[in-house]
Amino acid sequence: MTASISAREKITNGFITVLSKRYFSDIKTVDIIKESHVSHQTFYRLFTDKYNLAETVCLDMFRRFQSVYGANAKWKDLTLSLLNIIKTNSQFFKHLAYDPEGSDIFRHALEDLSRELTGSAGSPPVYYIWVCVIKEWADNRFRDSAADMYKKLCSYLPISDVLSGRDLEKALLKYEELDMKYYIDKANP
Amino acid sequence: MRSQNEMNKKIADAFYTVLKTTSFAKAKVTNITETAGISHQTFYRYFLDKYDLSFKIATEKFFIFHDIYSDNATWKEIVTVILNSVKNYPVFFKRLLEDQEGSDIVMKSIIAVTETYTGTTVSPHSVSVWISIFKEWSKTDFRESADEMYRKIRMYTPLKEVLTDKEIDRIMTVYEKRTLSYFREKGQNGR
Repeated sequence: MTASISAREKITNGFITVLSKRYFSDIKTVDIIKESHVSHQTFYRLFTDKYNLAETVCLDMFRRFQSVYGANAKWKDLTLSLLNIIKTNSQFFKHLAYDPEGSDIFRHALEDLSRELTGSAGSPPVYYIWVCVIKEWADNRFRDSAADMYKKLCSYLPISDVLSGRDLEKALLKYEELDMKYYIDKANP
Repeated sequence: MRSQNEMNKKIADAFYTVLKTTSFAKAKVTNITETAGISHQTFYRYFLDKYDLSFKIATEKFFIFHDIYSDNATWKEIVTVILNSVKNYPVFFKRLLEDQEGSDIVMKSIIAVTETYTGTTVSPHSVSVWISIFKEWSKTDFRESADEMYRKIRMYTPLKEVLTDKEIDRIMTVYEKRTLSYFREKGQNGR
């Protein structure tokens, strides 16, 4: 049992090292095995493939917030922790978010986390917004603080995730009747 | 002028035929020229490559709203026209949306159309939400009506597009304090 835990850790660490240098699509399972110093058999005993490994590692990283905020965290604390975890492992997440396959994994891991914590996932667009925000963050080399990115993320949340009932309808009804002249005037005050 | 339009259409039609049996990534200019019965030179006189061709086709489809509504189109009308153009040209859009590069082209076309008519660029965040919805839609071969999809897009509009910074602050102050157990209960009551 002890041996298999350490093999798992070896593979996880090996994967983090490899992904911090290269994009997810450019990584082969052999590269991860080489970096982790484990045998093929050990790798495939613990993980189905690199996709399964990547999602597991992501989810494990995301779960770290619980040791600080517990199982009933507030949305803000949870979201800020996730952003801080991403900033701490910035190269890792950059090489996931900028990769088509990698960004799918990143989105699935967030969805899985949400299901695990609340029993349901947010709307699919939420996770696309996350990918967009992480890419933007990577573009300025993660210079912005997690708090800045938190603000950005909030402002791009799908409206129906935050508002409901009459408030939602009121906001949208006004918005969808705006015509192009409004936008032109707004752009050229 | 007329012959130029005709040639554009001929090439676009040939591309559509090619996409019926070939993925976007695998479709080659040679397949298009063979199907259209034209030379390579002719193709390259009109388009740089298949990416340029795809961008021009998508943009032209989206621009139709201007012929219908002129300069007074509302956001709702523009979105509905874009959704209908996608639904009425299914093979082309499905092939593009199932491909990463193809999705980027659809994204650029939407940005180009909105920019031309409003002078402002939509945020990439909003467009990526649209693309995610389009992708889902393409998986059912665009079975749902454009109206249904419009209702979805509208619900997923980013806060920033609809509300002022002040309003967002006010709403988020309430939202961000909600705990995981709140979301758990909300989930059980059905979203």
